[in-house]
Amino acid sequence: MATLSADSSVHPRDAEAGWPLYAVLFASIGIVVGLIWDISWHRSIGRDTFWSPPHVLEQVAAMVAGLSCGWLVLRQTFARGGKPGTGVHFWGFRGPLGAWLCIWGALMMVTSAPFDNWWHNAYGLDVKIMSPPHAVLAWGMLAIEVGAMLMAVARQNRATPREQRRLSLLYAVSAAIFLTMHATVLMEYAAFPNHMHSALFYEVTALGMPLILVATALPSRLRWPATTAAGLYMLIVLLLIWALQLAPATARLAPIYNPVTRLVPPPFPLLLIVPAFVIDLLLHRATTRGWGLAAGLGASFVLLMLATHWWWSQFLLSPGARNYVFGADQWDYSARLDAWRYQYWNLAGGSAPFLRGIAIAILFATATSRLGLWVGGGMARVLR
Amino acid sequence: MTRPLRRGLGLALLVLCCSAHIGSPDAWYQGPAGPYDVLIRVQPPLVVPGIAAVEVMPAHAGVTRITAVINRFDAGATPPPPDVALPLRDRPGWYGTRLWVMTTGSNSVTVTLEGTAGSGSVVVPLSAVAGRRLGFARGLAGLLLAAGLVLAAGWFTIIGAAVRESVLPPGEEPDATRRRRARWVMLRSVLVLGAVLTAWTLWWRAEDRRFARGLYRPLALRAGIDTTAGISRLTLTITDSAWIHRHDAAWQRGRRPRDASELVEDHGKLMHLFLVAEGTRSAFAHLHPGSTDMVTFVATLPPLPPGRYAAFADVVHASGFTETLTATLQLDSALTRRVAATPTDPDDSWWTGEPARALSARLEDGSRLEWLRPAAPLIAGEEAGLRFVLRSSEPKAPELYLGMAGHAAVVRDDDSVFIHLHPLGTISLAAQTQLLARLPAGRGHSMGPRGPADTLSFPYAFSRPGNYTVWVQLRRGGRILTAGFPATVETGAGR
Repeated sequence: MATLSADSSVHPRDAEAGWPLYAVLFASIGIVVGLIWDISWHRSIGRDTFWSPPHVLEQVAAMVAGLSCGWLVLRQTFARGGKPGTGVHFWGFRGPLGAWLCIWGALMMVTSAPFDNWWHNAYGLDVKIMSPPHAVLAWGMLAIEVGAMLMAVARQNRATPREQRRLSLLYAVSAAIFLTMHATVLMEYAAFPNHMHSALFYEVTALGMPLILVATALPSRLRWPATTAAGLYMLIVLLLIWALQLAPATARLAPIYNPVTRLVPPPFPLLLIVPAFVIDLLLHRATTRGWGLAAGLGASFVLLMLATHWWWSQFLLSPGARNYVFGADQWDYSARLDAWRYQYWNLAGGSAPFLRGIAIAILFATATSRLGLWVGGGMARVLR
Repeated sequence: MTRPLRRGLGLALLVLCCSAHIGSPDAWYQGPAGPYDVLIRVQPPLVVPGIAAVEVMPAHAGVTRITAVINRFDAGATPPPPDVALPLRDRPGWYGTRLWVMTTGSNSVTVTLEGTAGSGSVVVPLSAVAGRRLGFARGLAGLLLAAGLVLAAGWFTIIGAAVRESVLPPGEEPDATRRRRARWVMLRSVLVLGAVLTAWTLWWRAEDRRFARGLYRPLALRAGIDTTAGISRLTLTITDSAWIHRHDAAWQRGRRPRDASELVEDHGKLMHLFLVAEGTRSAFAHLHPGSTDMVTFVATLPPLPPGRYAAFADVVHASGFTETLTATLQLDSALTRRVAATPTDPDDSWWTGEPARALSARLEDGSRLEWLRPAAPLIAGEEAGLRFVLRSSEPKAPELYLGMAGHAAVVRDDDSVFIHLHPLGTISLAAQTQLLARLPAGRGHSMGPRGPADTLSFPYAFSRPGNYTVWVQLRRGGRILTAGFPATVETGAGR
């Protein structure tokens, strides 16, 4: 049976300063912006160093997350004579659960650096986004972003009515950043319009997106939380598309088949706002949170992704999208430009394998939606 | 150590340390770059993509700017902006820069000098291949293991704290049930973490296997003796499937890509074959087998003593990629008795005897070749100072041999290092010509080799410590003269 300690009268805000949440959100967005910028750097300039601007942004962001959360832990542990506040115990220290995850993520990012350096010496400089040391780095980044979500949701869950809207918005921002990170990690498989007539695109997006959207929506006090998060994700990517294209860039590695003059932007964001809106709608109306709801959420997600991206990709591959606003048809310096850039990729076997792939995607989305309901239910109860 | 074991280790090193040139990856060039004379050393990366170190020493004063740029052999792509070479602090007179090598195989490094005499460029062919697998250093492995254990322990603690306390209102203490549940979830999370780590390790292993499959291996070569014509003929057959099926697109699909462009002549020969007697190094031959199908190469066997020989065959591809194919050959006395009266190729040469014990060796025409070796010991990784002078009482001048003032072959005692040198350096003139032909006019200049001289200088750095033999060849009075010198190389700070 739970017991109240003698100092339960301590107000949460007395024990947990507000600025670390903003610091962690800044770190979280710095990491994802740094990552997208870094990918663009590799696609446009090619050559980098440990001190290239995107790397510095990522390192500073990790330091901000680690140090601000470290300060929070020290404050909760040692300030006020060691009285328990809003934290959880960890090896004799106390701090918010999200802060511990941020510290863990920062350490994970630090650990990945010597491993990544060894990897470059052993197997060559990066030509792919995903490699085992980059996975370690990505787990660290994701941990910081989940940590930011947990810090935001915990504050929202115990907020006064006056604070609630602001904190719910901050939670939506943290979820949007996580969504952006997830979409970026999947860029090689599910980002370019050329992917969008392939079943693989729907299978890959079904593996993570429903979980994030559903887990975001359940604990939020906003009316349209998944829609808000998806909209913010699109806004983050669009702002980066528009900003990166303004920066001059010259490729510095041979062979150069496509002499770029500006940083190559990421592909146009996925139209997640459409399935996210329906996820919000279904969650408003749901009376139970079992497999039935998960199946509805999963099927809706995949079918709406299919309905929107099937035709949207046709526009993105058309001359109408080849401009500053949509940023389409911009390719790496090493790409030999040819007809492939206006074609759909991975089209194999006709309609039967495609439909089978869509069915598999619905199964994936159902499973991840169910997981999202479970995770979201848990997050709705997080108070520390 | 037994001889077979030593030999096995040598062959293993061949596989592990091989570059397109056996055990000598660095490209050296000594010669003109427009109006300037330069010495250039390019250290290729050990894996590709990787970073090459370019070092340039101009022989003239008045050079104000040195740049270097690398491009794929076909130069079909726009080159990146050149990198400026800066003075090297620890090596007066040298300038250095680093270039990113992104393409496996043949690459061209264009070095440009600007100064009071105007501008001049030279193209240095660079064969870049991945030649080794890197192990984990013990210190790094320990560091990462420690970090991994701390992170794993931290992960379990966070999971436990999440279940135990995260949903409790501030100030409330978890009860026994919640604590027990937290422990149970932590235990289960061990399985989850184990599964994630297993999947991650399998991924890493798959990447490692893919890398190992892509490691460079020279084309497989088999050496033998054919006596069907009544004389002993040396036959070398490229048995590598990648070469046999080089025109078969269907066969190549899904297989490891490798440079299989046709062979081109270097100094007018398709293949430069060096036979080196194992053990005593008491015999050496420099032959030029001919071929009609680019698969089987034939040369008449010179009068070499019976024994076991290491065969090193230098070939140049049309891409500019150079490689040394290796084989071994057993010559018994029956075979060596049936040698032809005249060689197949007039430029074939051979030598028997013992490598010189001193720095001066007697040549067949009575003259002497002296190694102007510095007093300091030879150090691996540092410019070796392979400078030789011909001493003779007759005023007969040396002549060009295969278009060069001289040739040298360097072989380590376990055959794990072999290089064929010219005063021009380690680079192949044919490879340079192939690369230049693809460059837009004026991008790089090639100058013909220098004329014959009494003094020969071969730019080179021994790649590893050990015992070596250096054979030097020159032509004088129509005769090809050969001298062998032993060399002991000590450990240095080389790579």
